[in-house]
Amino acid sequence: MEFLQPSTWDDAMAAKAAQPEAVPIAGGTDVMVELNFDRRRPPALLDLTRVAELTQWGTDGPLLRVGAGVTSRRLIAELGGRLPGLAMASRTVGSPQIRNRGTVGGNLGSASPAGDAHPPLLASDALVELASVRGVRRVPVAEFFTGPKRSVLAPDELVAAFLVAPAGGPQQFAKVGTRNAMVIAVCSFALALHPAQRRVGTGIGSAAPTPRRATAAEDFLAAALPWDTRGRLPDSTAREFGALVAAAAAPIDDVRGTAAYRRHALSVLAGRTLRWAWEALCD
Amino acid sequence: MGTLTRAVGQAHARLDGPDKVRGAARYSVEYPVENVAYAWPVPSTVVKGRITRVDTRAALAEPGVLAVLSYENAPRLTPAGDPELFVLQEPAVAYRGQIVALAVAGSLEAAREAAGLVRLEYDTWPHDTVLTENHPGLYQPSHVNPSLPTDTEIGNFDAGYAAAPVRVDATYRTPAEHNNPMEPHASTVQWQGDRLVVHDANQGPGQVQAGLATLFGLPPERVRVITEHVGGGFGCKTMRCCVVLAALAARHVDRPVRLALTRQQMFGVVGYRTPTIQRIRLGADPTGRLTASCHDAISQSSMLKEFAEQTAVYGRPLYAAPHRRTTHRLARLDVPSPAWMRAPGQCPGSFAVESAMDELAVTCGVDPVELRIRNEPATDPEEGTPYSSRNLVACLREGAHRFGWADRDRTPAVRRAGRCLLGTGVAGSIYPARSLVSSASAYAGPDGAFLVQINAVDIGTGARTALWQIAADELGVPPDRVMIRVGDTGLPEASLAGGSTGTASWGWAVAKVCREIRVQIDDVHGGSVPAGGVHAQVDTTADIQAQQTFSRYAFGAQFAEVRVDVDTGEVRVDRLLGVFAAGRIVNALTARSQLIGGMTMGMSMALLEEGLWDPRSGDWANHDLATYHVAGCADIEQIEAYWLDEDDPHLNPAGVKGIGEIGIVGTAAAITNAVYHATGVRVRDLPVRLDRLLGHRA
Amino acid sequence: MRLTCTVNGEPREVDDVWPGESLLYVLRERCGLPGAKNACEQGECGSCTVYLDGVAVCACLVAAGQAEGRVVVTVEGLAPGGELDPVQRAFVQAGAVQCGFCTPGLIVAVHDLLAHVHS
Repeated sequence: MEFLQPSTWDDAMAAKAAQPEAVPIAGGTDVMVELNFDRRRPPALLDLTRVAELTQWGTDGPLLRVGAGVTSRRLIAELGGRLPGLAMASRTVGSPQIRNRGTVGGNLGSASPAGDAHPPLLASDALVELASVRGVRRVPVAEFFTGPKRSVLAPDELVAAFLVAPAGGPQQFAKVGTRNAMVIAVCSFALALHPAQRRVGTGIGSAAPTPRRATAAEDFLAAALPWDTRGRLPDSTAREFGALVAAAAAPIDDVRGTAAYRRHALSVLAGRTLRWAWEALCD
Repeated sequence: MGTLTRAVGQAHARLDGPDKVRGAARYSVEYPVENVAYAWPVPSTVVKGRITRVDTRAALAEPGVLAVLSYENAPRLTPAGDPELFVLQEPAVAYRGQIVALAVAGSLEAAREAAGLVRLEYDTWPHDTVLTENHPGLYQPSHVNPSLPTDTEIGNFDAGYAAAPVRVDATYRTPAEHNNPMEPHASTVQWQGDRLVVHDANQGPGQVQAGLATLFGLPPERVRVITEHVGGGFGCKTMRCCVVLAALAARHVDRPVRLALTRQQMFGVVGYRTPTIQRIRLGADPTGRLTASCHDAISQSSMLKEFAEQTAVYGRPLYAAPHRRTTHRLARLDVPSPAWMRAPGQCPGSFAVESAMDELAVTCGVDPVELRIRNEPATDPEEGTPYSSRNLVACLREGAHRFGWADRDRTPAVRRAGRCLLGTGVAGSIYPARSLVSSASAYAGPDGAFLVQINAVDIGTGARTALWQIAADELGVPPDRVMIRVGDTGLPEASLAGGSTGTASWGWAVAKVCREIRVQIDDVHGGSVPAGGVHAQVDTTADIQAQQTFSRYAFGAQFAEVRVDVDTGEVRVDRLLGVFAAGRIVNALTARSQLIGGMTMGMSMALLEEGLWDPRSGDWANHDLATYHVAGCADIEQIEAYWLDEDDPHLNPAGVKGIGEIGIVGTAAAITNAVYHATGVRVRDLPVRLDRLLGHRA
Repeated sequence: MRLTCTVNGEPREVDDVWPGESLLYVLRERCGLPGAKNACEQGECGSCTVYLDGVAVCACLVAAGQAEGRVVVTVEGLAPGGELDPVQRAFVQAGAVQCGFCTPGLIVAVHDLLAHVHS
């Protein structure tokens, strides 16, 4: 097995182009488990921890551009105010040791339906920036995932960054599990309110083959919320929103919970996050 | 000597603490060994079958590979009782994951690579791996572990139950559970001529010595097993196949060999707690006084061996009832062999009995603490013998007082805090207090220092420190003048670390030899140690045979407070409180750790632990710590363990009952009883699952 | 491949490293530093926690080559003079040590936590 250690982004893309089967590794929180368990023996590892560009974040027009190598810990500390939903999700990732290493880029690269970063990225209309020697493209995160652990990432491409607007309104994230930490979510849900555009963003995790949005729920809620009056949220609105979120999921029965339970729990999380977010907006 | 503070009862920090916090304590594969080779096991990929071909060509072609062992070429062993130890001797496969080959190489990575290249072909047969309550293969074993009667009957249960005005009839299930000590099994084995020197992680170096001696046809004195530090055992580090594999490999390649299992491999080969199906029937008068009780327990074992978990023995000495019956039935399946785990029998048995007692309390409208007090027997209800001491009622009362039980409203599902329902629950707890034969030696030096030696083993319990304290008191000297050595078969023979017998058994031998040394110094040498020192060695065979007949048990009361999210069914434990009566507590610091550790494991059993079986592949679906959750500190808000001062003269010189396992007994029932109190939902099937609590079953 | 890094203040040069092996493996099997333990290999248990460039990480999830040129501190490096670090002392005194197998990882994790709390 080769160990490729580019120190610049150009070198990294060149290495990936030359050896598309090389597996990118940053925090190692997914890739190393696969290696330790002997589940895979890739011909090469492409270490991205020395590519300084990946660990930087800044602005790109109205958007924040966050390098794929920014860790969960830095997201919380440095971007928690601007990306509160993503920061909430990042706080629920693993242990401190895992948050010190794990990156959103890695989460996207693995494309697990249970990836904690995915629902908030969906809810805030993030773009995933993919790069190769052929060029750069930006894919809406909702179009990024194509199946369990599969994405539109081409063999010669790397995840360079994600781009997202700073929160223009309240954001929430919630997940259900058998304990508070060190647990794979039974299901998770992220919500973003965009009061300026009177729009709603959602993201569902662990309840479909891919992370996905609940678009009918978003449309319903955008129309139903009393944006002008900022009045009390009718219970019926929260209930209907929850039901539409549950309907958007395509869960399965597995060891962590039944499909029926997941739908139910999603409706609960949707209602809950909506009440929290609406309260925050009206405060 | 008059002003000397007794060491027993003090909260001494453990002797091995400084080495452990520095990372300097050496575990079994951490001793530097010249020219060491590494072994990596190859598990069977079929459930039931017979190996027809072993192709090692690709494996042997790897650089650095020394050998691949299988039944075709492994050195021959002599059976040693446990078929799980008779490894690489026969082509038959009894379960998926059984070790069928072993790669040996000059480096760990080469051994692992080679193991993956071994090609095995099998003839296979259909398999049967699922335990059910009406499995056609259920039978009555001749006895249950360790050597207890399979079935018992006092009075006439059927008649007593039929006549009872109040009845509870419920079936409880516990899943397979995996011990998961932090340290995976590990051995370093060296043949030095015709002597075998073994560093091994185990709960009984003497047991491993005897096992290896039989398997390899050696006199025991030519096998030395050193077990200085062990990273936990919880039952699964009684002798296992790993050390045998390492010894086979070392003999075959004529080099020292290391073998350390991975966490994933442990799930397949080191044993697990059998799943249980338990029916409890209780008959009582309207005030909750039991007139009849019956506990029918079903569990599984492998085709390789009969391991009969003693699930229904839990209630035999516990609550009074004139008519009582217990039964055990076992099914032999094409599954890995179950084995000892954290209070075997008592732990799953207590879940059923203590849940049923709660159901009876609800049915009768009696407070569940009071219900247990009402069913307090004067003598052991099955044996008729007196208790050496019995303080269950005192534990319940003390616990109720400390927990704040008095004003508890018994109505379920009415206490609400925000989106959560709150509830509290209680359970009793009992665990046998046994002493096993051990020996120990002591040496008094002319410089005033003492050396006490015993082949006890400290698997994390604090045994080394407790024995050192006992020795100091018996010698009548400050503990800093005493040195203790344990964990080496070169030391006087002692029983294994299991069944909470360690301190009782080893402490007996240690106390006896220290008394003997004092007698020699005082009576033979006139009160001073001669230049050549004084040596003594004793064993406790006669003392233990001379014990009077008593029912000897530790008792406890477990209290739990839970919070259940009404919408998601998430359960969180806000508080666990246990009060125990376990004889004399030798070391308050290590005892507390033992007890809260046991209680945390009980919580883990209630809410998290579940070995998921895939009947199609005949294998565990979860075999790592990401998918098999074990509770940690953060899973519990507040945990308290207390003990009563108990002076029981009928135990052993140290006056101890053992505290390794009582902490886990009853805990799961206290939690599910609290879940019932919070929600009105009775959980009879562990672990508590979010979807089950909300009724969203598939 | 060859790996060069600093471990507990000492420069180390390790040969024949397989690129897919973990930093934990390098420390335990190649550097003779068994303090960090191998207990799950998937970042769940924390027994292998070490500092990598001052950040607490699970050594089992760091590819050996990722440690090239980096500074590693293990539990063995917390008490270089023999005097226990206050965190180590507190663990012993509070009875927070039992079998001791995850203790080295917990010591580094708590050492790191307190460093952040103080700052």
